[in-house]
Amino acid sequence: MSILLLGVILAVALCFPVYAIPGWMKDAIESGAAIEPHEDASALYLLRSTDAELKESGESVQKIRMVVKILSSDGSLYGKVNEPLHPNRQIKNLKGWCLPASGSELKLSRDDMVSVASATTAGFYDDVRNLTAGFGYLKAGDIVGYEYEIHKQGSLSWSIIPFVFQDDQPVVHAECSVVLPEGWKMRAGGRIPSNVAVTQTAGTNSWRVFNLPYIPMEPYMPPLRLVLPHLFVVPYDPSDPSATSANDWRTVSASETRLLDSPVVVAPEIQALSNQLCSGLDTDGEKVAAIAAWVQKEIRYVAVAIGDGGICPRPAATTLGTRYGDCKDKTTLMRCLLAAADIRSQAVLARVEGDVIDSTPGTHQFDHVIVGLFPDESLLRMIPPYASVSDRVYFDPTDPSTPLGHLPVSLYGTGLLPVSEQDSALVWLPHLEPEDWPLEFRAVCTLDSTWGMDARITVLRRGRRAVAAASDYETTDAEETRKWYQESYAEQLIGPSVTDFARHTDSDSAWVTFRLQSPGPVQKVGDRLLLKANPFFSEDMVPLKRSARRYHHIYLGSQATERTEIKWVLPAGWKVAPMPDSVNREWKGALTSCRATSPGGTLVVEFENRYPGTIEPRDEYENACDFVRSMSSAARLQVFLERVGGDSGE
Amino acid sequence: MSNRSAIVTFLLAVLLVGMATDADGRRRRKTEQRKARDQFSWMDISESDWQVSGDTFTVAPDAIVLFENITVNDTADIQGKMQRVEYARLRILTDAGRDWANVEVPLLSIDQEVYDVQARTVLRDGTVIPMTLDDIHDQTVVRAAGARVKQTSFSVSGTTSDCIVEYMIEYRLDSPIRYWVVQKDIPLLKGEYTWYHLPLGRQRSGDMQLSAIRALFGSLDTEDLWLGMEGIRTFTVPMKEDSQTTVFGVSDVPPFEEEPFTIVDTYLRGQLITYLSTSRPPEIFWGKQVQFFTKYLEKKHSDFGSKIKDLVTRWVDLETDQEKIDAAYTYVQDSIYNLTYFDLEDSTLSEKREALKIRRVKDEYAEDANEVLKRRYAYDHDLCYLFRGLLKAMGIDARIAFTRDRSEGVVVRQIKRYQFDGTIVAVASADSTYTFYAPIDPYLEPGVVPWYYEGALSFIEASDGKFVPIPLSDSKRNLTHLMSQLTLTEDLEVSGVVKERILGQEARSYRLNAIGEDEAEALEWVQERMEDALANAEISSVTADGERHGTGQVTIGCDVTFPDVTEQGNLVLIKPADYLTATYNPFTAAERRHGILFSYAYEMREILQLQLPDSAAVESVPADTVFANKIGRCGVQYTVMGQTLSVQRVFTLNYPLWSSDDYADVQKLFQARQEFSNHVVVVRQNPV
Repeated sequence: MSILLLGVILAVALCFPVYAIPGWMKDAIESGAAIEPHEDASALYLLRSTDAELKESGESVQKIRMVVKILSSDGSLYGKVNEPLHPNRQIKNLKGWCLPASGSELKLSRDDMVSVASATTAGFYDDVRNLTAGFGYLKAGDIVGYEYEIHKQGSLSWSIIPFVFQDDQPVVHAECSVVLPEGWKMRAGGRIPSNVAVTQTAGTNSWRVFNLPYIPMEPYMPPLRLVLPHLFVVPYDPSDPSATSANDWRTVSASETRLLDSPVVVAPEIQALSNQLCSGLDTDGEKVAAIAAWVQKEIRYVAVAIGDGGICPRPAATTLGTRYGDCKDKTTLMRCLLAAADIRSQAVLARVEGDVIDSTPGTHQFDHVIVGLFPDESLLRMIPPYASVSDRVYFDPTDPSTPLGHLPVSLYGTGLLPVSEQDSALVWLPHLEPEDWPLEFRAVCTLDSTWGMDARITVLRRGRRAVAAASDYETTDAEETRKWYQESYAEQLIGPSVTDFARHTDSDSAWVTFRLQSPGPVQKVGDRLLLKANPFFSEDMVPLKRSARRYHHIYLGSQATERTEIKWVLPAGWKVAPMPDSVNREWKGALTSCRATSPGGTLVVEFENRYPGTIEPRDEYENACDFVRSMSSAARLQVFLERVGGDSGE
Repeated sequence: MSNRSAIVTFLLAVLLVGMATDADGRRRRKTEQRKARDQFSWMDISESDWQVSGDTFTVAPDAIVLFENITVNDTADIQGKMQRVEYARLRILTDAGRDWANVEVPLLSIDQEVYDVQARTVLRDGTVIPMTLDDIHDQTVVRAAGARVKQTSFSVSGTTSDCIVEYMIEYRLDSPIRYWVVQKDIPLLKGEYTWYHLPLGRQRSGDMQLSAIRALFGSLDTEDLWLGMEGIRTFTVPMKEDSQTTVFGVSDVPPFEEEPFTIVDTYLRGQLITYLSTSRPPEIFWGKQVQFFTKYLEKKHSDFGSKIKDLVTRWVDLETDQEKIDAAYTYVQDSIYNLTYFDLEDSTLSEKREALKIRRVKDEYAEDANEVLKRRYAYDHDLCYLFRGLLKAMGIDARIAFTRDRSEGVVVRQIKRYQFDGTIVAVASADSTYTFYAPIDPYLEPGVVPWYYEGALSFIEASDGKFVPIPLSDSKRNLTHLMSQLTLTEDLEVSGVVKERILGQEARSYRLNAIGEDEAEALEWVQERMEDALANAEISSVTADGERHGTGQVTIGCDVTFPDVTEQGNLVLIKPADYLTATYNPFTAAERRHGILFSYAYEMREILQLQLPDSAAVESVPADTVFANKIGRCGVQYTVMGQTLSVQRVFTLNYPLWSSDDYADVQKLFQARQEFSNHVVVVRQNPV
């Protein structure tokens, strides 16, 4: 009888499996039960936690727990685990539970997991895959919980502990704890909310915060990396001089010399090439220029970040033989060629995406390598000064369009770390000014008696914009560019035709000229005509609603200056009346202006927009609204035309 | 030796032998690969290869394929696999052209084995730089549920902006991949495809369709078809001395250019398809096919069981056949649970499930229509068989029809193979025309099919085997009526309400998106739709009225707030286009190569009523405009009555399918609509 009973129980259990929701998940659900999230939130994180333990070998284990309540079908994507996988970064013991709003509980199975290679394009090879795990399509009211471990090993840079308190969705409870080996220290950085409770007890450091509100997406808000609260912990062993994370940049820099300086070896083929490139050149400046141009142009970019390939440069002879390489490979090759010509150089760590944070030294902050030069007069005479800081000139051999004397735009305003055994410190590149990135648009538009438009247009780029444009002219077909302009203007004008297209460059400018014909942007208004003053650019601008409560600071975009001058030649017998009012508004270094004049039977309209690239506090919101509104007014400027003498008709 | 020891020893021996065999197999394979590698040799490079430049092209390419030779060897029986070899030579002309030396080996089949890859760069001075194994990368691109998809890529070494790069890829395949996409993103000067096929009468096992064709026609032959090759030179040479080899060739293939609103580009690119089938003309093939499947249907789906016969008695007294058809159609939609679209957890259908007493379902098709009735649930074509059965039991000539979703592919009647992915029902009328019904697809009125079947070809039971195009629905069937009632305040703020009435395919989209969703979630789709349509507006208080599981009109409503209007002195310049659905003109290119494909014909009627403040008056409005051509119609009308400005805009697209010859007319219609976006209404504040 008891066997029978046991059999029945077993049968029932097999038919109706019960997945025990762990206690920590139940606690999180209970804690968040009374929370009323923002009406726009798609998900509510009831718990986000990381418990990290670091070993002396640099290996670390992070235990992750996450509980998410789905609030709408959009929130489904927040109810998944997304983690990168790498030979040095493994996910273990992944478990998951789902409490649907209706229906029985579910447990995560292997069928719910998929990993996809992060790089699938030929020319980019790595061994990173992205693991996604979750419960298929989730609906409002469903609650999911996950628990797993991240095991990291290998280079010490893997032991950096990152923690995101929140992405844009609200969070009830976020917590991170880090246990370090005895004697180790750490630095913590990131964007840590002011209400985070930081505690340190017996070797455990923890950060805990409750009730982080929903982060709305608003127009003209700063980049997300500057908004989302996050933390990263950089541990280091003060007694280990080879650590790539340390208390100071000097130690970090010195630790990289083994990786980036030791491959600088002059093999015979390197010597031969260097001799060939420098043949007949007298000064170091000329030799540097020749070598830099060659490496930049002749070695195509292919990234092989498999195994150690992600951090170790290939031997220069290999890069030379294959004629391809990534930033580390190209930098190393260039330095070897320079060394073969007895010219000193340095590897310099840089960051293309994101900001370098001074307070948390570590190589983890960098994602790029460039070359630092010790210039003599001969080099300084040859090149513009835009890549010179203190006594160094910096050059990026990976960027195909930025010549010696310039740097890629993304590096300006960030920090560089020259790699050196001796004293080294962060070098800060200045921010670009709006005048460093100017664009000028000039048009002379003739309106005929049937109001067709025949325009001669010049689009001029100066400064850093000219550098990028000039490089583009060399690598793209002129006809392709002409077609691009024609199709772009077809979005604003009806059936435009672009002809007589030509491209030009000189020492600091790059420009295109062309003829554009289309029906004129003219509308009959009673016995007058209404002319759209600037029909060439889209007038769509994201508006700011004055009555809205602003959450974020205000960011109009990266620094730039744009000037437009359009001269309208009117048909005989027509004049401008009345002259439109000027627009001129400045705000915190930003400028928008529009001015119309009517010299000798023409209409000349000049526009200027300047963006400083700064972030302004949200209590400037009203002023920002006024500024954006002025920009919109200027972009939409319409001008009335009337017959000289006041007759109606066209 | 004890029994136990003997067993252990035996097992160990088996294990060791197995391991040795496995190692032996690997060594044999490596040897074969080395032999294959040694057997392959590069073709000579001539001076004319070096002379090739981009000068003769309108847009100079970064690289040109000098030749591409494909060999498909169905006879190579290497461990049960077929062989395909691709050998391409590229002339690199610019720095950007070097990226063509980074090659992803195409994934032709999940089961493919990339048996060998060789590549090299040749410089002008004759230097040869062979690719090494370090330049080849195999990676697992997807890993899920125990399955893996691997991909091979490689980057050829030593490439410069003035060189030749060539590579050879050898595949081993479980089943033949016999197509060749000739048209690339760069020009191809010459190409050749050599097909070694099995002696006719032999084909590999496992290809059931091929077995069926042979059973039907008694024999197989090699077949080929060039697609998308208009204006491009091709040739076909059967090698007479060897009746098992055919060579196909092309020359001067221009690069493929993407265009908006076309069929999927896999069908647009110039390509060669080779396959085995009957040598009889397509009409005979399809004629026989239709006879075959008509017989099958007669045998399997014509014995109307008692349930069917009982059911139709309730409609037998309806006056017309159309009433009977509509009744049967409604029955299938309402009284059979459609598991193609709805799962058993759908909370909005719990009542229906209760009424039909559905608790558990079998994961397989029904035996016949009678069983569908018994089950009260169905998957896919079972719904068509049931509907057909009901109509036939009432003496109505209903037939199964196969078709293809035109957003995913097209039926090419010259290809004598099964190409369909959809099943519908065709009802024949006395004048030999057909009306089509889609019982599988919910939320459609009787006689209306999903838009992606409209215009597609159908293949109908008991017909003469000719393909019948499925008619396109009229634009009036897909009518959207949008009414914006807005107020302009003294502070120049604009806000109000918008109501949109949608019919036809758009209403169906709402319902399909709402499947399985509760009310709040269904409204999320509506919110997104309104945000897309009224790009400048802040949308709130969204509502949707209309039967969730029906076919009629859906009414969507929302509150809207727009950005402030711009002033110029004491004038306010209002652009009505800002307050109506956002439109754009995708047809900006001067020329068009491919046909134009929209989803469906539709009509959009919009009315904007803008109430002005007492302190303002309309000074002028643009002239009313009407443009019409065979493509459609676009008209705008302005009216001012007191303080109300009224703008009516109508846009009609007559048909969704147009040839490239009609491009100029398509462009003109969309330019006419684009013109409206520049219209300005001048309002004077504080008029005298």
